[in-house]
Parts: sequence; C-alpha cells; structure tokens
Amino acid sequence: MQLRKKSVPVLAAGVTLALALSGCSSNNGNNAAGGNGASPSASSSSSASASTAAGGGNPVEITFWNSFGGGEGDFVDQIIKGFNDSQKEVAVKQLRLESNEYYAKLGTALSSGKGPDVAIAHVDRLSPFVKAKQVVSVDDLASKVGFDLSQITQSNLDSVSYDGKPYAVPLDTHFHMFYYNKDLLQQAGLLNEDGTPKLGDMTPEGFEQTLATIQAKVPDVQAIAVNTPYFQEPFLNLYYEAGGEFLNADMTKAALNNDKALSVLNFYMDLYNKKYADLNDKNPWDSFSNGKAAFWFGGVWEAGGLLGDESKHIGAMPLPPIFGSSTHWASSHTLVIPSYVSAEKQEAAAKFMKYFSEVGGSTWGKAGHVPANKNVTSSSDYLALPYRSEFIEAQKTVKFAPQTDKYNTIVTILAESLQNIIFGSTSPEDGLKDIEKQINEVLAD
Amino acid sequence: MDTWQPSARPNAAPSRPKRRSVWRLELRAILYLIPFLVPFAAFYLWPVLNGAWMSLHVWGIQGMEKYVGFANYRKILDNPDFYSYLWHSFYFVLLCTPTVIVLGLVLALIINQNLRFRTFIRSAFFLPYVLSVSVISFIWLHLFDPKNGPVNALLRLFGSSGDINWLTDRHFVWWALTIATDWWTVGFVMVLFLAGLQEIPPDHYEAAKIDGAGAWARFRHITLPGLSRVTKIQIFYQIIASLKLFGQVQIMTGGGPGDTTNTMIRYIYVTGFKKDMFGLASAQSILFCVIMLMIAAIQFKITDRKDG
Repeated sequence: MQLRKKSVPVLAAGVTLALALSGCSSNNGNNAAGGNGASPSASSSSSASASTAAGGGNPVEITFWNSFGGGEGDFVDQIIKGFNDSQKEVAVKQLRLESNEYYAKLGTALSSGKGPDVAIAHVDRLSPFVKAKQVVSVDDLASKVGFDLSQITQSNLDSVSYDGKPYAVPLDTHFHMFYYNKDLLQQAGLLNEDGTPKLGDMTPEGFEQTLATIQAKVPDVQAIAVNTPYFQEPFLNLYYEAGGEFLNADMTKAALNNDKALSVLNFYMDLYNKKYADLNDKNPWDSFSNGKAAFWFGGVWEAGGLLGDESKHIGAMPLPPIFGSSTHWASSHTLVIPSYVSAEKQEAAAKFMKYFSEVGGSTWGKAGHVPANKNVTSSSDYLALPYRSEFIEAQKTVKFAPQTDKYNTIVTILAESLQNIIFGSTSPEDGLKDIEKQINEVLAD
Repeated sequence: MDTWQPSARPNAAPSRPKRRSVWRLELRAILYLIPFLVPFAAFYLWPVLNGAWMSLHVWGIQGMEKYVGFANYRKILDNPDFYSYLWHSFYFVLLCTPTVIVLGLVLALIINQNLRFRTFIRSAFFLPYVLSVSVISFIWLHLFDPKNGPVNALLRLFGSSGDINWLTDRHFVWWALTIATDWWTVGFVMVLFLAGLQEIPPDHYEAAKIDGAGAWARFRHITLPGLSRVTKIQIFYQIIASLKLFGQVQIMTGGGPGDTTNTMIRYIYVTGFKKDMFGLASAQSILFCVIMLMIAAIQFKITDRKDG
C-alpha cells in the first residue's frame, strides 16, 4: 500500500519532466542537427550518389542541392531535364530543400563532408564557406570543361571572387525594380504618352509630392505599397541610394548609425504617417498585384506574375534615385562545388555549371532574374521578354552585400530591429543605436 | 505485485538472498523499460546533453568555434530582450490557459446534455485540434485580415467601424493569437472534460435533486469537485503548451508588431536559425528548459499536496 502511494508522485514527476523537456528539447535537437549531425536527407543523397560513381560506362551521377520552390523550381526542373537529356556522361539528381532550413543543412553538409556535389548558394552566404575552404575555386575546373568565365558579367564575377579567384559560378543578379500601375497613374494624371510614369523631383520631398497627388486623385488605394514585413529590403535600397554602407571598410564595425539611415527611416515613417502606404498591410505584394497600390518596389523575380499578365497594366523601371544615386541592393544565386567532392565528380559538376550558365540561362531569365551570362542577356530571346532592357539598366548599379561571414546574422539583426522602429516600439535614433551596438557585438566575437 | 515475482517468498530466506532478489527485480524492471529508454536516450537525453554542451561554446554555421564557458549565459542574462520575451511567453499563459479551460468546460457541459446531433457537434468542436499549427495559423491570418477578413466584416455588421488591425495593433494582437489558439485547442480540453463528466456517478445528482439542490448548487458541489483531478491535469498541460507558443506567432505576426509578440521560443529560433548563433540559442534553450522544469516542479508540489 505504501509502495503504491509513493509510486504515484514518482510517476507524475516523470511525466512532468517529459512534458517540460519536450518544450525545449525540440530546439536543442534541431540545433544539434544543425551543428554537428548530418541531416537524414544529406546522408541519404550522398550515399545514393556514391553508389553509382563506381560504375564504368555509366554516367557520373551528381547530386544538386537547391532551395527553389514554386515558380523558380519549375524553371530549375526544366534546366536539369534539359541537361540530362543533352548528354550521356553526367546525370544530375536534385534535392530540393525547404528554403528556411537550407543554409543550416548546407552548412552542416559542407562541414561534415557529406552532401551535395554541386549546390546553390546566395552570394551573401558564400564568405564563410570560402574562408573555411569548404568550396573549391572554379577557374581551373571551368577551363578543363571549356567554360569561358569571361562570359559572366564582371560585377557578378567580382562578387564571388576572393583574392582574385572565383569560388562560385554566378547564375544571376536579382534586385528590386520600381513597378507602377498604369491605370492608377492615368487616373492621377501622372502617366506619360509612352506609358511611363511622370515622377516629380528626384528628392524625398519631390517623391512625396507625387504620392500626395495620387492620394488626392485616387483616394481608396495606397499611393505606394511598402514591403513592411521585409522592411530591411526597401530600407537598404534607399540607404544604398543615399550612399550608405552596411559596415566600415575593413568590416570590423557597423556603419549604419548615421544621418543617411536616419533620413531614409524618417522618409518611410512619413509615408506611413501620411497614409501614402499602409503600415498594417501584411501582403503588400498582393495589394500591388491586385491593383490596390500605384507603386511598388518589387523583386525582379516577381516579373513573371506582374509583367507577364498584360491585363494588369503594370510597368517597370529601375528604382528612381530618390536619395541621390542609383545604387541599390542586390543578391545573386551562384553554384558552388564542395571541396570534399571527388575530382571526377567536380568535373561533372563543372559541366553542369557550364550548361546552367550558357544554355539554362535563357530559361532562368524567364523567371525574372537577370542572368549573369552576358551572351544570354544580349540574346534577342531574352530581350524579347517584357521590360528586360530596363532590368539590364538597373543591373548596372547594383550593390552586393559586404563579404563578411557574419552577413546573415547582421542582416537578421537589422530586420528584427527595423520592425521595432517602424512599429514605434523605439525611435529611429535609438533603434539605429541599438542596431549598431548589436552588430558590433557580433563582429567582435 | 507478488504474482510476477516468484522468488519473493517472505521469511523463506534471510537478508542476503532477499537483497539479491530485489536487485533482480530492479534489473527486470529496467529490462522492461528498455524499449522506452533507448529511444528516450537517443532522441531526448542525448540532444539535450548535446545542447548543454553547445551552450558553452560559440557555435556558428560552421560548427564549434571556441569554448567560452558560461559567457553565453551571462550574455543572455544581461540582455533586457530575454526578460521581455520571457514575460511575453508567460503573458500568453495568463491569457490562453484560463480562457481555453473555461471555454472547454462550458462546451463539455453543453455537449453532456442530451442534445440532438450530439456527436456531430462534438466532432465539429474537436475538428480544429486535428489540424496542424501552420494550417490554423494561415486560416486565422486570413480571417483577421483588416481589409478583407471575415472577422472585421462581421464586426462591421454589428455596427463597429470594423477597422481593427488585429495583427499589427499591439492592443489586439495578443487577443488575436489567443482566439486562434483557443479555437484550435479547445476541442481537446472539451473532450477531456467530457470524459471527466461521464465519470461522475449520476446518482450523486439524483440524490442532490431529491435534497432540493438547484442547478448551480449541483454544479458547484458535485460537478466541479468531480472534475478537480482532470482540471488540474488540464491546467498543467495548458500552461506548458502555452509557454511553448511559437508557430502561431511565427506565421501570424512574425513576432510583431515590432517585437510585441516575440516569445521565448521564437527568440531561440531567431538566434539559432536566423542568426546562426547556435551556441547562444542552446544556452537560451537550456535556461528556458530550467525555468519550465521549475514551474513543473511547483505545479507538481501543489497538485500533489491536495491529492495526498
């Protein structure tokens, strides 16, 4: 009897412990997987590719990791199929990972030496991999398979070069365009004969004047939809226009806490306060796409949806130089080959890179990204797509992320803190101070 | 107990063999527990210990960088954000746990009546619980849309101006999350209460009726005490579940507006998976885990005393 009475609390304590532990163990578990254990998908794919490598006459099978979902994914499928059908030496198998977890998994794969033979990496994520010598330089491989890297746009090539050597093959540049709704501008009397918008003075005040006109003439729409959920993007665009820098020259300190950043923030706060833009709009891209906003700083990757549908009457041009220069934010998809890949497979992967750049580029251009291969962007096929000459124009003034291996951390700090500023939890001045402090802490580590 | 322990013949042998038999009994118990213990150790204890190990290091996307001892913990405790997000997690417990328990009880009482379509109504209330957190979050994300959402449309029907920004106004956002979560989990609470109600012997009610007790008196003196055990378990379970709030926040508000609804778990997630600071995130997890364990211990103490 006594025994039984005792066992009840013991049992309950066990359940308690289990319940409570499950609260945090899920995070610990994931962290552990991100830190040192290879993810199941990583190990399964590498073993699959390893088993076929030994075969003599069989094609070399390589595994290609990417994180493209939705529309972009369909274009990648087409390119892979095209490559596999075009020759018999190399067979590409792709593993598509969830974009949220992609870099945790790729990082694990690269550090544990098990994973893809070729993988997509954003240019701003490259730095830690290069510094840890986890990816190989691609110049020798390219010449081995007859892939002339001088086809690649210089700014793209520079963005993946460390000490003068390219460590990735840039596939594209992606950035934001200034999209405008012609119907709404017509109603506001701001549309030229040729279908381009009549923008006033290229100053913050001048642009606000244009927005005020739209608001007065077409009151039930937003004059401009601002990407509030990802506010770091519109912020960086105008901050770079103003000549701002993310970090100081030797990348040891934040360089964000200054008048340029402050004036950009105050400009956006003005747009919200004067109701030119709706702070509470959680889907500004939809608002613009559905004709509920006149202007939109949208990604080139939205071109398919926005410009492809003629009935929407949407046009695009490079971001207007409201804060002085035309410099604006950009990123780029690149292909990397991990160092652990065998020489035979590295060469196979290089052949795939060559195909993706030279032939796949025109398919990729349809997705909206500006291909990095100059031969593709100068082809008539590419230029026949809507507004692509504007894209190429805008591509000339892009600014890539600083080459620091902490970029992901600092851009997350920026993103989270900017939310506090625009939703009024803190003033722009204090917010910028806080961002600077946090980034400096991270860089000091 | 004696039935499965043949060697436990009392008085048959003096202390020594007895001790051995006890040892054998223990060994046997462990043998039976192995099917549970092995996965528990592999998928629970090991990751937790691993997390504790990681929490003592600077651990980036490349893996371990350097050993820093308790510097991560000091960094967390020095950061006012930690306390503010911890408070957010507890604030949600204060909002969600009472509402969902009261609602669940009310629903269970209603359904326990001899209603027509009882099974149908019961299933209807239970159905949301079957959905995953991402599904319910997206449903409510659209329902709470300030311009085109049905919630504001309904409010407009009742004469409100109907321009409540549920998810971006700091006065409403916690209620939006609570409503969504209550809708999602109330079915489970209801079912447990329903089971509890059916365990109360009907003759208690009959006797009370004969004694002239009214509906309120019967509820107060028979139903509530009869449900006390199940209620305690539910409160306990709901507190833990509410503390773990993450999915709804991540999808519906992104922790916003600003960081108004950033909870502890989302804080850990952002530190680890967005900022690639896995060591720091592990330390946050361990701290939060310790806090949850303390709560569990307190709760356990309270419930145990009353039951004993």
